[in-house]
Amino acid sequence: MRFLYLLTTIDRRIIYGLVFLATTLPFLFKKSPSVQITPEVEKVYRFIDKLPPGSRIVLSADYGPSSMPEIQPMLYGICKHAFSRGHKVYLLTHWNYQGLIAGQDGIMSAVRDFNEEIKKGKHPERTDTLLEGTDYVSWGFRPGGMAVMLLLNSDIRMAFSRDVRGQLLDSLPAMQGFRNLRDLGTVENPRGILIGLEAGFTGDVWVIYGQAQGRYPMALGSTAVVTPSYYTYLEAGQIIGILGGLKGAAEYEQLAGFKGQASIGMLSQSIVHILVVVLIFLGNLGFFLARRK
Amino acid sequence: MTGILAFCILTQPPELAPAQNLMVGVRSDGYWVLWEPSMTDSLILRYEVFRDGELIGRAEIGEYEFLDKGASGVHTYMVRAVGGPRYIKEIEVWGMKLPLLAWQEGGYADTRPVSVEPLAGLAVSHRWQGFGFSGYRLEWGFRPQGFVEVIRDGETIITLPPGSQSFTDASAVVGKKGYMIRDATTGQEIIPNIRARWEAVHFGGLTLSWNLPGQEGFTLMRSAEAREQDMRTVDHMPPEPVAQVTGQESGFVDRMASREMIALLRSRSPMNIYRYYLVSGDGSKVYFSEPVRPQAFNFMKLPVLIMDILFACVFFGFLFMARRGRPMFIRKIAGLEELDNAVGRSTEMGRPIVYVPGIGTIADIESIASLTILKHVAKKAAEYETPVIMPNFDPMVTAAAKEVIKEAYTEAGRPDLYNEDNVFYVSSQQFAFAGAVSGLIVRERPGATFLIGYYAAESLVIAEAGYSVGAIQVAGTASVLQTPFFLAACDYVLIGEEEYAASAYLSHNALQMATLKAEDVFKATFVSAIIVLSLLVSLGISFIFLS
Amino acid sequence: MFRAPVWLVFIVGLFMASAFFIPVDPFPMMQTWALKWDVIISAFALAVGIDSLVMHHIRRVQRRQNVLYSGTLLVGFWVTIAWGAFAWWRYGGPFATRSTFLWLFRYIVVPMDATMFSLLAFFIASAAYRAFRARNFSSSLLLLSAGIVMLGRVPFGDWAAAPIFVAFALLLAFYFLRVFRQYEGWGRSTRMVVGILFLAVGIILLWPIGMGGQLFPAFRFVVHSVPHLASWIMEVPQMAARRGIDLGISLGSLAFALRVLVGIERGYMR
Repeated sequence: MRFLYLLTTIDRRIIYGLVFLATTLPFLFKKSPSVQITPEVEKVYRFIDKLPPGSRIVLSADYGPSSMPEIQPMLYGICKHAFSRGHKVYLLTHWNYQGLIAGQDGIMSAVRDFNEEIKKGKHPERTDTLLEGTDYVSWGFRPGGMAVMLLLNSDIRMAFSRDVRGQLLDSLPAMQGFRNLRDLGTVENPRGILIGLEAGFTGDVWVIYGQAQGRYPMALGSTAVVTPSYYTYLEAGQIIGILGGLKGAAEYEQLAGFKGQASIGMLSQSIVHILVVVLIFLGNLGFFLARRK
Repeated sequence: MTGILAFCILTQPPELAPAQNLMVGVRSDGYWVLWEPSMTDSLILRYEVFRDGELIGRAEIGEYEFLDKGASGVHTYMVRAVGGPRYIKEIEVWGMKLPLLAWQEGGYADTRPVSVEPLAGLAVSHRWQGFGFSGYRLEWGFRPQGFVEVIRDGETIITLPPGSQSFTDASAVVGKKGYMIRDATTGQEIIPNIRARWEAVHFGGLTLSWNLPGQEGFTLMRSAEAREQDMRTVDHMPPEPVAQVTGQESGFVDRMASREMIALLRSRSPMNIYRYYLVSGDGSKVYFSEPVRPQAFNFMKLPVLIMDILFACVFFGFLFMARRGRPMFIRKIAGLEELDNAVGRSTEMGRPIVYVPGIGTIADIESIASLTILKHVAKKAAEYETPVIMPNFDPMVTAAAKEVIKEAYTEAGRPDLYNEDNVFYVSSQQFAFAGAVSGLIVRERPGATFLIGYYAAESLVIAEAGYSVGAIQVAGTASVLQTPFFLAACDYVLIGEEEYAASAYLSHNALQMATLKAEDVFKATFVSAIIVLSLLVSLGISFIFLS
Repeated sequence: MFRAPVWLVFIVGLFMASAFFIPVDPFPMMQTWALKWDVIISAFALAVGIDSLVMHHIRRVQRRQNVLYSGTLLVGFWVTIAWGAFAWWRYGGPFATRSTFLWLFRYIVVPMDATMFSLLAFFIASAAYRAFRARNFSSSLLLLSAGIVMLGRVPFGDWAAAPIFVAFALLLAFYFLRVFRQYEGWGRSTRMVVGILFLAVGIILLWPIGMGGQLFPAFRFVVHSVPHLASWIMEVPQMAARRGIDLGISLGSLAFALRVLVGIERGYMR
């Protein structure tokens, strides 16, 4: 019966140890389960897939290090998908230095991995590796939030005259013919898309100030906690689709045909969820049996 | 080969075509001359803009607009396309000979002059309707694979992204229309479920009237200027055609004028200031109106004002009743009942109290509510001679908290016990704050922790730290996302509006408690309305009541 | 003594509330000005806050209290300021591309931020283990819905859900049939009926053969249903409860704001 009592009072350090094992072991084995694709993620994937090659994907990295595990795989997956379709990627952020560094790290790792794949011959349609300024551009950060979004609707160069490396935007081949966000076209005639990767509520500002004025195609990727608040925009038709949390990132990776951090993370997440429920069960088991005394 | 090509080009005399569709729009900073590229744009070197026969500026290749800054009054504009044959010439760069495409200026072509003048008689008024029709909401159950075409009376009005399952046709007029939804990939067609939308206050567009006797038909055009809250212009939209009007007509109702024009549909979105133009049939005369100014009151928000006034009436009504001595019953709120016990328990254990006001700034109403509860807790702590330690996220909250605690100690008659060092600023970074507070709780081992205010993800970190030291924890946040974490980790939780009711509840002030009654009356009204409307919708009475 | 600040709150509050309804000058501008003033005042308040922070920890060091922690903060504070100033001088800004200050951010601040956020995983597990006990009907409902949503949202949680459901059903059947104490006011006959119901659920879930020779039909049904049930819980009852709470919060904040505006609520000022 002492065992039953112990079941109700498992030391929290044991619980922490079990959670640590459950979280880290899947990353060692690198196994990943397949996930059920939801329509919101599939819409984003199909939209980017159907864009004519050479279209423009603008990514707004509005998150910080604490949200990187959830959102970085989205950025990575979208970049790789875009590069494989021959699209150009443009990166900006509204979160000073945090978003800048997170976004830069994400896009650089996607570029590095894609270039490795090109060298291995996995993309026979491409002969050259990805070049900054030609295939992707980082605009960087500029304070202002709403004001920057409105400036981007009229002229990108008014908000960002140089990229994050200090090069004039006009000197970059990827920026030729890209004057403002209206050049992304419309949902009926798309020539690109803007995807906001959000950890907070900057997505609301993007939809209200950016998309509502510019009428360009837009989608959102966000942490699982704030995703429910963005569903209203999805229902209103203001955004194409939404990638919610690590699961959304895993779904996108599955659609794009590779297993990344999100997919491996889903195994970890599954095991931890099951562990928590098992712990709850054990706690209740001990609770009931102890109450009997 | 290059020489032969250059020779070929030079032997053909160029025939230049002028720029097309010259139009002059009016902006707050001048006249905006717009045109479309010439048919022989590849031969054009530049465009030159003339005002009243005088050259005023140039536009380079690829630019098809020019702003005549500061212009006003009656003027005539003309655009000259200057160009000539192209040829390849060689230039020397770093010792290398490189071919360069160049133009030889050989001719020009002028557009027809366009005169622009203000038309004082072009009047614009707003159409506001009570309970106005604002379109049809279409919904369909199947999930289309490809792009979705919405067809109204045999004509495709819009193409939606793949997988769309709803659409609002705001341009519809009352009367059933034949709608059809078609999946562009599979060709599947379906008739959607149609519901009418009605608005309490409906903006029906703008009514235009003018007086231009003896004129032929016009093209009515509209341009817009987006202005921010502080009236700075942020975007200009060029004139676009709205309708064709005959010479006999002297009025038009523009139903498509966006409600953002004067309505500020969301309180901080930019508004569009419109301007209308009457362009003669041959495009040579442009008459423009004054900018359509916003009205002094935003009628889109009239229902909000009415509800606010109603609430205020109920509010003051209950205040009046409270002044006349009528007792106000408020149910027990467990978390607030236990506040005093928590302070007492800390005193018995000889441990301090830790009060964490969350990560809101002084502008957040939750922070202000937290400070009102702090006063009560601090006063009790002063009576029991228990120190209150308060780490803060926001410097202004720190300053306000110092004053509140000092005042509380003074009111309790123990100003000597107030220690300014116990109220301090920690960090404005979320997790730095969480780490600091957790460390503080583990080191100080308080008997009670109060976690009341605006919280985000760090709520559980702090709550678990409090649990680990065995403190009694009272939490309160209006953030619905964090309430479950507090419920799992804390002993007593103030959910939702209980945090705002706390100061009234704790003070037992009749006036403050009366305001809680007003709030409850309104809540009961809303719940009743929700039940009635839900029943109506369930019975198939299909309308959507907005705004 | 309280009059002037209370009147100031009333006048400014009324003016800002009017700005919501009146789109002509000067009302829209006032809102933007107020936001800009807020930013400027916050910057100055930050200076006051930093003074408070630094002096607080200097005093602690002087009093030999938590010297390690306070000392670490002070050293980190001054090193960061010095390094940032050096980066301004040398590279034109601490976050310029070639700035060495980025090293500090990328390899110290970012990992620490991510670590603190990661602690939530451990804390959620221990909080859930501690809090989700079926003490009464409400907490049982909380436990059930939390378990279904947790299992239904992950790839093979649905397969894990069925045996856990079986175990819970049998546990609860055993509990209700065997315990002779009160379950929060339920009578003995009620407990018997509920216990038999749970036993029936457990037996049905474990029943091996269904119609048409299908293996473990009820088990498979649970596996198939859990994700849909989880989605339903999130989309229907959760949304309803959240909207109810949001309605209450909106009205509560409105009433609180009115109290502050008319001066009944003065606890936040001295």
